[in-house]
Amino acid sequence: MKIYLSIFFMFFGFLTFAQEIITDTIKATDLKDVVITATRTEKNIMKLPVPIIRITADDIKNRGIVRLNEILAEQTGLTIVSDHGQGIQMQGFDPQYTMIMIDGEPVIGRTSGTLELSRITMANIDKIEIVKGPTSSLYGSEAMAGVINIITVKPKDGFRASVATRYGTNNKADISLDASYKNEKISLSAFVNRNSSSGYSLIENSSSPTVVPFSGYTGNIKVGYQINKKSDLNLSVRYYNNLQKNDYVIDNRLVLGDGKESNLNINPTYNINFNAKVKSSLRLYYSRYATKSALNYQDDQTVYDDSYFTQNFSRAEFQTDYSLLNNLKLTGGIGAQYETVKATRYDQLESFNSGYGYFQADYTPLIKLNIIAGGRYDMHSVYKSQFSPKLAASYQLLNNLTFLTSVGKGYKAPDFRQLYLNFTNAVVGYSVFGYEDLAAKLLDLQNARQIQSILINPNSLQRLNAESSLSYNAGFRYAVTPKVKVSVNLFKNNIKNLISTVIIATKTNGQSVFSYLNIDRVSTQGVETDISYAPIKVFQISVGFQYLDAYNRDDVDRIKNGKVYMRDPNTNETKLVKLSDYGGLLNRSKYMANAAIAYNNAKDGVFASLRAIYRGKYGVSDLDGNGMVNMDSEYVKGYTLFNASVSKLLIKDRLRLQFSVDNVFDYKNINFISNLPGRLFYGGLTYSIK
Amino acid sequence: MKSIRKITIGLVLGLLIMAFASCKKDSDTAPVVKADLKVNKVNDLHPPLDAISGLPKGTVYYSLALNKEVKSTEAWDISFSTTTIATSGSVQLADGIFSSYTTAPTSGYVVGNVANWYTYTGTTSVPNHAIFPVSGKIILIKTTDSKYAKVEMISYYKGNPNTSTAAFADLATRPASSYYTFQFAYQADGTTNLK
Repeated sequence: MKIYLSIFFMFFGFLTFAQEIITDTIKATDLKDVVITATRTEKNIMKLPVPIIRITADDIKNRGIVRLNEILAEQTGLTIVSDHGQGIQMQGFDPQYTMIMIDGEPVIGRTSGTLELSRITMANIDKIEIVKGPTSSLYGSEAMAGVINIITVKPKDGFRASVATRYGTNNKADISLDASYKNEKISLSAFVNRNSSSGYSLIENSSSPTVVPFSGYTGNIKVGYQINKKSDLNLSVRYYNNLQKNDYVIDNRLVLGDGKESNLNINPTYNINFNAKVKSSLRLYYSRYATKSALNYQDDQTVYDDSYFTQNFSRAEFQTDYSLLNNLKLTGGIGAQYETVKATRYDQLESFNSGYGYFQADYTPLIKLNIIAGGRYDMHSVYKSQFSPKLAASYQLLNNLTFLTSVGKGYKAPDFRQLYLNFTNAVVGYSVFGYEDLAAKLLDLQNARQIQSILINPNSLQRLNAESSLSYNAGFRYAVTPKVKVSVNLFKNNIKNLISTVIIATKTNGQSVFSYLNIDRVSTQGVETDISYAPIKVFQISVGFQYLDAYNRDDVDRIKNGKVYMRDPNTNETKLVKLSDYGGLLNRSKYMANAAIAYNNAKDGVFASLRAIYRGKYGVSDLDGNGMVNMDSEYVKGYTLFNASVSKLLIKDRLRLQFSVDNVFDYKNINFISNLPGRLFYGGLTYSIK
Repeated sequence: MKSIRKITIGLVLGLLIMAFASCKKDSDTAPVVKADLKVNKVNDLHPPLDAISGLPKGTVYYSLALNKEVKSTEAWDISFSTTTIATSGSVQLADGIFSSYTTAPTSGYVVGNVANWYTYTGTTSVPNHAIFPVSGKIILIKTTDSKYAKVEMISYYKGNPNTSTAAFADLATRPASSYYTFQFAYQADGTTNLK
């Protein structure tokens, strides 16, 4: 494999050489475009040495999109996967490995590692920046696959206000109101959004809906004060809550009750420019995420579920940027974090303390060569300290052709759930214990004579450590002509110490005791490419593609050693699994693609688009009990979704009328894809005062 | 235009190389072992049929020594009742291909039921709510008179059906369960040879 990769890179090297002969004088057009997420400083997108996707507010509006999951689903190399909520899969990583941020601060509140993306509204968004590849060198844990930073609108001069509405199938309604004011000294903005739905059932006349009715609110108030020419003070307070009306059948009994979810973020920042070369910022962040669920059986009003979960996250961070030389910019920061969780399934309030420092040098030794070197050191109260370095370089071979490459380390800390969550399923009888509590809990069960045999002695285990990855990215951005743009990125991620659920002991009731261990080694590798073509100014065609190979290296070894068996479904005979039968990691599609045709005529105020999203077949189950995907019936069939939207601006562009259809051909897979409700029609109306 | 062609060729070649590199070589299949013992295959063994439902109900007992179904009051080696497999002696599971598993271990046997011999496909899989014997699991039995035997479960459904068909996936047309198809080899001489 390595040989082929090096041949591939050599081939690119040759291509580089071949290109030097061709003289081309086309200039990159988007020179003013800056990206902040990849380096924590403002940086020109064309020079950035790491793969990046930038989504503008116009992209979102023109597509008639209102929630984060909808827009991410249409990006190359990203796919929405459902596991305790809709999360993002990036470069073949599960949702728990991508950090989601709002204005540079992490969003908390994950369930089994998944952050529900539909929680985040797309109203009042300025842009979304998606950095692929490990970014732990700046952001620490969780940024192993990459980061998604949602950047909200900053108030513009004068008074502005707008109202935006969208309504459609399943009574899905989204309403936003916002107003802002800014003068030389002060800026103020307020924003509120309501998102609701009556839910839906994939199975007709089912007594348990696939998605139950819900209504959620998001509010955001921002205040900014320009103290003097050099410094400013800002405060953002954001609040989200969601109410879910549960109503479903468990064992032929109706269960009713509310599920509540809330998230509060408070984020004061202070920025100061000491002089043209030095500037600093102090950022404070507090976030609280809470859920509460109270469900009762309808017949006798006994309790089915009464549980809560509360997570608190506090952080102080100080960063300084120093332009040492014209071509050398240094960035350094330090921070401290305090996190707690208290919940029904935790025995007591659990807490983490951590401190960190990061450093980055952005060096341009030649006009065309940019090198960024950096690293972050994280100290933690529960697991081993982590150092995450990263080195990246871009070389602008021609005005229209830039090569980029990067290598970096990423890590993900064990979370509260893996360390402290203790749970015994009352109906089935299995138990899950967090690593830190395992020994004591197991002893309790032994004393209660509930343990039949211990398979792994907890005292023999190494302390649960962070998962870590070493990743490589390499590719190029090429404006073949002003109308044709191509970008290609090859990636390889080697992850070790993956935390997996393992059986520690068997219970006398025949069930198991589970806990977490650093055991698996997995790899993801592939290539992603985007091509866009704009034959005329108002018309654009774009195509994206990702090839992904994601596998468990230990499973591959087991197959090579002849230790894995399967049953031929036709004859029921047992045979050895071959490598060609191996389907890799669950939920990964080898092939994914998207295509879009957009007509954006600002002069006439007409915007239309048709988008197609293809997701190739992916493994979803292990029917023959050998721990891996190897039979046709263990896959979900590939499918393509089509989304369309058209909008027209009226009254001096103040009024926007919009009509959109998601999933035009009404594709459904009742058994496997619960977050795909079929065809959805929406009508939208937006009015703005500027 | 030349450069476009070069880039295109580069891309296509690159993708081909990636695709080629991801095809891994297959390892060899297990060697064929010539058996000393007779391998017996038992088809559709099932508990007595219920008079009302016409479906298997209760427990069925089998003597490996006699290779026939017996009554609970007679000497039996293995019994089946829904997903519970029990032995009169002691039992353990081993991994391997039935035909190439040649020597029984002398220790490690536990009295009681056979654990983890099947997987249940659950609610959302297709086929759903199905019971499949775990592939590559060999049930090793030490009988009450210290004879060794190996057993492999093949099917839990009547007629040992193809489980990849739509008819099997549909609960309305799926063959009845608690019909056990298995193969076994019994060593009568008391040695651990299971070849």
